[in-house]
Amino acid sequence: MALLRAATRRVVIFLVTVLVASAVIFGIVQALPGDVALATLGMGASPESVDALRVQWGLDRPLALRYLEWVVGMVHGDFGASYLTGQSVVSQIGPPLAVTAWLVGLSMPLSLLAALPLGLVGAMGRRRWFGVSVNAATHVGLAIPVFFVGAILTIIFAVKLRWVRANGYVPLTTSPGEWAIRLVLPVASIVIVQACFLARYVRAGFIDVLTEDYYRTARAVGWTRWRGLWRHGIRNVATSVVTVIGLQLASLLVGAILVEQTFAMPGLGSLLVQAVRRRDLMVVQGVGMLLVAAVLTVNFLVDLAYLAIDPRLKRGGRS
Amino acid sequence: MSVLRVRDLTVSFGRRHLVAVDQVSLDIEPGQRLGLVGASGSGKTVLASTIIGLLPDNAHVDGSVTFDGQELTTLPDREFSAIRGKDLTMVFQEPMTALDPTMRVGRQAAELVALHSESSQGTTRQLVVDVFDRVGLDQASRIVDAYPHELSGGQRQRVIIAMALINRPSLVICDEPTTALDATVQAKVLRLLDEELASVDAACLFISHDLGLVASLCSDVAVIHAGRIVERGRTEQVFHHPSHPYTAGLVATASIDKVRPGERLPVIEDFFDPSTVDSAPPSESTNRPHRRIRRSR
Ligand SMILES: Nc1ncnc2c1ncn2[C@@H]1O[C@H](COP(=O)(O)OP(=O)(O)OP(=O)(O)O)[C@@H](O)[C@H]1O
Ligand SMILES: [Mg+2]
Repeated sequence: MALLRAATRRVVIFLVTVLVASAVIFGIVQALPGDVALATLGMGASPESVDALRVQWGLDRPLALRYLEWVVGMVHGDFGASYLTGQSVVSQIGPPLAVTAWLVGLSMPLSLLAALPLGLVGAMGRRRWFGVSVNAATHVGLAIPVFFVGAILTIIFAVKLRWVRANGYVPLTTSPGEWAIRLVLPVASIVIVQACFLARYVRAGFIDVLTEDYYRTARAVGWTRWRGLWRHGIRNVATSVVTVIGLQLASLLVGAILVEQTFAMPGLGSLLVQAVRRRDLMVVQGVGMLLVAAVLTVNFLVDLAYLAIDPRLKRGGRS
Repeated sequence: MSVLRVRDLTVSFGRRHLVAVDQVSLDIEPGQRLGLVGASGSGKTVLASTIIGLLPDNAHVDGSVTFDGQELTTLPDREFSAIRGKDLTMVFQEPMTALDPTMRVGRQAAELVALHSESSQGTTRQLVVDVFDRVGLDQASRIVDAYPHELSGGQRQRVIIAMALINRPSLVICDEPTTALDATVQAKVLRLLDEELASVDAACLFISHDLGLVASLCSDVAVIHAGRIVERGRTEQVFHHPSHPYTAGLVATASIDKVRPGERLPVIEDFFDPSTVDSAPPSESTNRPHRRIRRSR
């Protein structure tokens, strides 16, 4: 039952963090320079008409009250409505969210899938040519910005070879083929950079295991080099990689937003940029909250994963 | 035929070829127990690791090790792995860290069986419980489901011994299997090792710097000093009439008749003056001297 208690504690921490994050986001967005009413009516508008619009949108009411309304609404799944269009934020976020979610959701597991063998080879061959070259390659991959990778891939595969298309996005439900063809390059750009990043942690994790007594035991009982390292090393590697993935998700989201721009995909990035430009604060708040909640949720899952991976943590603290 | 034949084995480390084991030859007959005694840093663990083929990458090996007639020093990893854990097993010096902390101990033992046979899961579990039972682990059926951190040092070492015996090997290398345990546990574990080796009829290379232990467990003994075997013979013979000055010094520090198994002996360096011996003296500054005897080719 220690596991249950540990899980409960993490749920409480999660909820408190989300609440604090919502206050921070609300505060920052409200403090942003510029005024939605003014932005809407244009610089030449009379102060009276601006004030009238502010009253109409409820912007004249106290901050604390508006914050409470917003939070209570979100608990019920209502993120408010855009000041400009009157459209609900949820319906505006929906389609771009799908784009970004596909990008991140496909990139992350694929990066991991590529990073595991790269790291394993890099660790096992760390004093041999093949491991050293893999390691060098991951360093190179890491030094290149993700949008640059995207541009190079576009030139090769979309412009020169014309294998795939590098522009825009087609929903899966509209045409699975088109959907896939347009996702290949953006996903590949993210995967290349992320896999190189993760591979370094995988490698370090496996190198740790190589020096552990229990790896020697694994060898002594008859495991071959590679299979023994995989079998008795993967859990150790999982602990560090899971941590990194948790920390990395925020930067992955930023990377996805950059990649969306490179490939002209209508994802959360474009939505956010557009909303900030128009001072559409409800949308900015909503997207911000979503991103924060996504990162926190992943960190929460990471904490739970630790409990599953390392039996020593179930008792609280390593022994 | 000998189970193990070591001939002119020289092991050195790194670019500078620092020699740790120097021209060692020894034989172990089926069922025989050979004690290997020597001071810390004399090369005991390196010799054992060479035999079982688990030296670090930076080691250079010269000479020959044959096991059941098969040359091991040149054996490919895949074929060597089929022997390790089955016919040739090893009990390591450190029970606290030798087990995978993220895996239940029963599973680690079952893995050993599965690696070397095609027996089914169900019967393997029963086999593991039986062997745990035999090595004196109370409530073996519960201990198989424990993680290493849930066991005491003595229990872990019993698990490790059980793992070394579970496939009925023909040779078990024990590298100071009890130094990490306290005296009472040490005595129990040794008695058990003695019985279990006899019951599976395994030969044993028993490494220790404790003469008392070796005398109680081994019929024969080899004395290693600065990487060389300086003396070899029947245990009583060597201890009562040592022919090499190093052995004489070793024996002088311990009157083995009075020593009970498990008791810590005075260290040889307290008494033995290395300058009286022809071979390279161990350096005095560190516990694990990094001696440079000569360059091997
Ligand atoms: N990986 C290594 N690289 C370089 N030198 C090593 C390595 N392993 C062991 N040596 C050296 O080999 C020598 C013998 O070490 P070994 O571990 O065999 O001693 P030992 O007799 O087992 O001592 P102890 O009783 O303390 O276990 C030491 O001088 C040690 O420094
Ligand atoms: Mg040793």
